[in-house]
Amino acid sequence: MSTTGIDSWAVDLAEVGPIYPMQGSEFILLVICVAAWIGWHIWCIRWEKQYHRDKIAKYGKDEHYHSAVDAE
Amino acid sequence: MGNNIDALTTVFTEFYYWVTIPLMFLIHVGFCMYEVGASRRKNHMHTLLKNSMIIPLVTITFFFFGWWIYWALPNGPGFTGGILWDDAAPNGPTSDIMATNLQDRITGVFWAAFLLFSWTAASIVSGAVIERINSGAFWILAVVIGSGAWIVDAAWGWHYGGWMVQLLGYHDAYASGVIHAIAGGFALGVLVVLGPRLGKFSKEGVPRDILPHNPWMVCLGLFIIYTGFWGFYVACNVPLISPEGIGGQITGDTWTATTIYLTPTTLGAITFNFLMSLSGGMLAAFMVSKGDAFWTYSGGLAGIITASAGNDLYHPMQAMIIGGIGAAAAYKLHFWVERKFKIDDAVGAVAVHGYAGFIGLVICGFMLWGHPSSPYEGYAAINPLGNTIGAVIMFGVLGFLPGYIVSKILHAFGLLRIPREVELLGLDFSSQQEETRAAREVREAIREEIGA
Repeated sequence: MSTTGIDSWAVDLAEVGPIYPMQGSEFILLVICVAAWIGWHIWCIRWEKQYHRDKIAKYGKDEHYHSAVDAE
Repeated sequence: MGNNIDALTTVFTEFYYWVTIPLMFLIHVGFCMYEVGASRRKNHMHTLLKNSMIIPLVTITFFFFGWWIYWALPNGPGFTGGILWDDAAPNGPTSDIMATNLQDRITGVFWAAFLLFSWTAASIVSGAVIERINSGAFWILAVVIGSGAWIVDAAWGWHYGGWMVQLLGYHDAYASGVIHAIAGGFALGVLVVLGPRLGKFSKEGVPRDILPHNPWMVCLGLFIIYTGFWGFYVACNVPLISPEGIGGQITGDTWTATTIYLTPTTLGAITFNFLMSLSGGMLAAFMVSKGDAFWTYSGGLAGIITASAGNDLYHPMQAMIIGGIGAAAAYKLHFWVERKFKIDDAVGAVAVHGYAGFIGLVICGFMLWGHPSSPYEGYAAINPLGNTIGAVIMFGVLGFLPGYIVSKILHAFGLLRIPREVELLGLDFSSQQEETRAAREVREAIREEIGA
């Protein structure tokens, strides 16, 4: 028994269609992948907001603004 | 060429592989860029030349004996038979088909496609050891892996008659193990003997960041490696072959693209899966590295590398998930090994290629469990144990061990590492001094001329 449905290559390729593993699980895969994609955006927005907050907390002083402008 | 169809197939196949060669050349360009970008300014030119000289050295040795090894050793020897002298003889350096020959138009193109893989194997190691290895020692190591260890593993596990395919059901369609795990393992073997760069670890063993001189160039280099990776993927396939040409169990007369094992796949499959595993890797790496550009790009590579073993068959969404798992695991393992074992891998090559390749092989064994590893009768089917043993052989037996042993020998002769003084000054110190002197001379001459 094979995960791809192919147990032997003693077949006529004209009669073979999909050969990827775990056929029938496409919808579950889609749900997982879409959840991962949306989760990634949510994580990214939260992370970036925090990243900027941390940056301001650490460097948000006049001396740093001046040195940043001077470096341009 | 017997008839017009034969002629067309030969010319198409010849051209197909021929195009992969300049594409794969880009892998080397990318490796050079990211390696030089990762090094400090005082080491740039030596770093560039160290990697670039892989090209002539591995090319000539691959012509002298590397290609012969591939055709001679599929049986081990000792696992499924002896040395295949008759198969290997036409591929030796004195054979008349290893030259211009109107009876054989394609061997040179096959040879070059494999050769570019050899450069890649050696180039992966090159990045890990920058700024402290003797170039002469590295070039010996490059020949050992580029024209030795990797091509032995290709004969064993990346050949339609390889003993690992026959007995273990080993499956590694796009070289998670046969290029990446072996090169990562080899690099680790060298690094254990070579030791870290000066200043990399504190007295308490805490790692310090030695930041790349040019992060932009590092990332662009990785971007170029992605492009070259297309050529690599394309070169791993037989683009068009008839069931008769395969000569296995397949019936009917439908022509197909196949893997190196001559098992059917489609070029559409690798196109889907290359891009989806790259994407899964980049997304996961961006997340675990908190937006670090170097690791995001490296994660893209790790994603492809993890999915590569089974990318001939995976569903694209499976490739995406597997790519994401591999990239996250490579990132975590890199820093864990760095802290725990004080291994200074300057570019994360052991993680991105070695660990991701190893993990990819193990996952492939589960995902494709029971799928026939070959179109020929009597071969073991793909299975988790076979692919895990294969991963150990690639990373450990043919990767880590030769890297460690040859480095130990070089170290015993005092050849492996550059003198401490040179490491402090920088490998390019004398040429930088010369540059400064020459610039001063020109400046003074100009001042004199304008009377300033």
